Amino acid sequence: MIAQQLINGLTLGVLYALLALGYSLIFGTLSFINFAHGEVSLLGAYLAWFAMSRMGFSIIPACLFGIILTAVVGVVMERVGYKPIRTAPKLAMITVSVGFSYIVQTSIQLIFGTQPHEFNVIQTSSWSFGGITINSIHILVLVVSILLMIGLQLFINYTKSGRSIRAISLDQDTAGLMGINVNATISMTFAIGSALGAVSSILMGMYYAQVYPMMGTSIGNKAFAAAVLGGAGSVPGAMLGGILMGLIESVAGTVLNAQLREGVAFVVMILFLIFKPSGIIGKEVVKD
Amino acid sequence: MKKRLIACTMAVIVVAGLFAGCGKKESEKSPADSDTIKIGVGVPMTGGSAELGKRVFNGAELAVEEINEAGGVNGKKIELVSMDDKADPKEAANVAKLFVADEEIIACIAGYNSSCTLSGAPIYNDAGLVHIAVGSSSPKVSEAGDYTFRVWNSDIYRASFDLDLIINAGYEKIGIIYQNDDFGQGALKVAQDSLKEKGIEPLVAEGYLLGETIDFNTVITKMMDADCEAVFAIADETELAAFAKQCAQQGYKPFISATGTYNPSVISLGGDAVEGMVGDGYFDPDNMPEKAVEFFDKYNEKYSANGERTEDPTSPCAYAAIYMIKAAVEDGAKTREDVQKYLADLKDFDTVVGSLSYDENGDVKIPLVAIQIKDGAFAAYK
Repeated sequence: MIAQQLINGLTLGVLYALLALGYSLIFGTLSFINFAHGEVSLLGAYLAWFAMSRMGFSIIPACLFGIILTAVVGVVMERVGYKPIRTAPKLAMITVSVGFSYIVQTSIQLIFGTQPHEFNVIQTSSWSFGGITINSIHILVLVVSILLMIGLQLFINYTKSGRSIRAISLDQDTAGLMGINVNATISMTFAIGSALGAVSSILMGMYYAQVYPMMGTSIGNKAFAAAVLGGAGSVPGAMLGGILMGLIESVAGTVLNAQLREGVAFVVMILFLIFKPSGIIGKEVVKD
Repeated sequence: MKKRLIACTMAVIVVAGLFAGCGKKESEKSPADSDTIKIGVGVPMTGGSAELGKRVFNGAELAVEEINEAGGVNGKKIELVSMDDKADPKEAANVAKLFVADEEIIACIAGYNSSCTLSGAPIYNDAGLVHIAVGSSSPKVSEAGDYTFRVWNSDIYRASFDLDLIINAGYEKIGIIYQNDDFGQGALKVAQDSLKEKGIEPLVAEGYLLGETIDFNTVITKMMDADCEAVFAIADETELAAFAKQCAQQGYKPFISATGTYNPSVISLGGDAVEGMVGDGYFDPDNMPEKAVEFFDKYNEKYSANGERTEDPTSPCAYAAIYMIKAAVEDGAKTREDVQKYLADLKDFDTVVGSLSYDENGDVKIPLVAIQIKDGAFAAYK
């Protein structure tokens, strides 16, 4: 049973990790928590569902449609909502992001309806061996997520654009003086974060075979907790935090019971905030 | 300059709002003075139970339209006042306060989720305003007060009915999942008591949080490990379908009996995974009463999105509730208290869902039939 629970936890964990990356990337560049991230990401799953079931797209174009449009929404949101108040106290941006989360969630309900939709896209076949069962969705989720995480890590560390993101996260003003296009880089960060979130929510829709309007909020909150656990602002931290969170939840669900596990994420987050606020691999930051 | 203008406009709006509030308070109104008969509808229109809340509202609206087309009640038209409780008990209490404060409202249909009905109930009872809950099945609703009525079966009746389907099929290795709120805990207690009588101990009994939990893989693994042959699911459509889907993904095929089975969304969300699931229904799908067919024809013509036919019992119950209030007013009920007296004595009232009588707790017993999902549709289960 433990082996099966670890598989369950790992699958959930990589999905949290993809979502947590969005929180961390944005926290890294703008040092604020984008509370709309969960909802914006959910938009990806809804758009992909819409493209497939209402516009007749096949699976891959539909997913790309969802991912690209979500990235655009992320960028537009930043341009419209966050850019004008970038120099204002961070509280203003956080408040705006909470506002955005409601706008996006309500828009989803208005456009796509309040009822859950079936998101059944791939035929699942499962394989059992040694007491554990793995199905095609487990494999899809794990492979896509891990490839994306490796890709992101390479992008951040070995490309010019990645270097600008790192530079801005160190010091926005100085990076600007060194000739880095700050606005373009921040837009890019939002695009990448939202796109990763969209992938996460699409995979989650496939994994749970449905999408519903409140999905973004509950999963988004856990991913946020995962980002804090890993170290807000740290890309590898978000990955590690997400995976750990999935495993912790799964183990908590096994040892304790199913309803307590929903709270475990936040208990872990609070413990980390008290005893190691910088997270597992976040850097200690002394600011202002 | 521009900012100042905006500020001034805002100030005017706020001040105007204050005065508007005062105006209402000054004129003491009672339901009888009003030109229309106002009935409040306080159900979730957004949030986790929005879809079901809308069905309550639609059912009520359909009844009101019919009544108004036929000339209203005693020459007056019925007017619905709708509020959204967001499936949140805190909001439900606010909604209750607003309804109670609107003196023109003679009775309400309020509360879908049991927790919301229970959080509003003390306010309605203190003020003496009847609220009829559609969809709340917690046994606690029975004791909520004299002004709390429902057109919905209590869990004591429903849960034991659903559980009996498992017990009568001869299963003894039973797992339970339940929605952890007033509804789920009420049903869980009923199930545990009736299992104890049979000398059966559930192998797994785990709760989940409505709107939070979507991952059931951990519980499913536990159930597989404990070798549960049957699962009693105290769950509504979203979670029920998710649970069944994840069971299928893990290659686990238990016999599932659920309180929420009789809902078309279960089939549309669950697909093949919910095949064979059993539960309770208000109508025999193979032999639907004529009155119900007529109701659903009308309902689906008006509200069906993308042509899918719904035969969910929520809307006919709300429809019946409006007709109960109408009957009270026709009988001469002029005040909120009159409505309560009328409903408390209501016996053998003929509705779409059968002939209903209120007991001393404001509860009805709507006759149930066993149903099963077969080939993507509901069928009678024998």
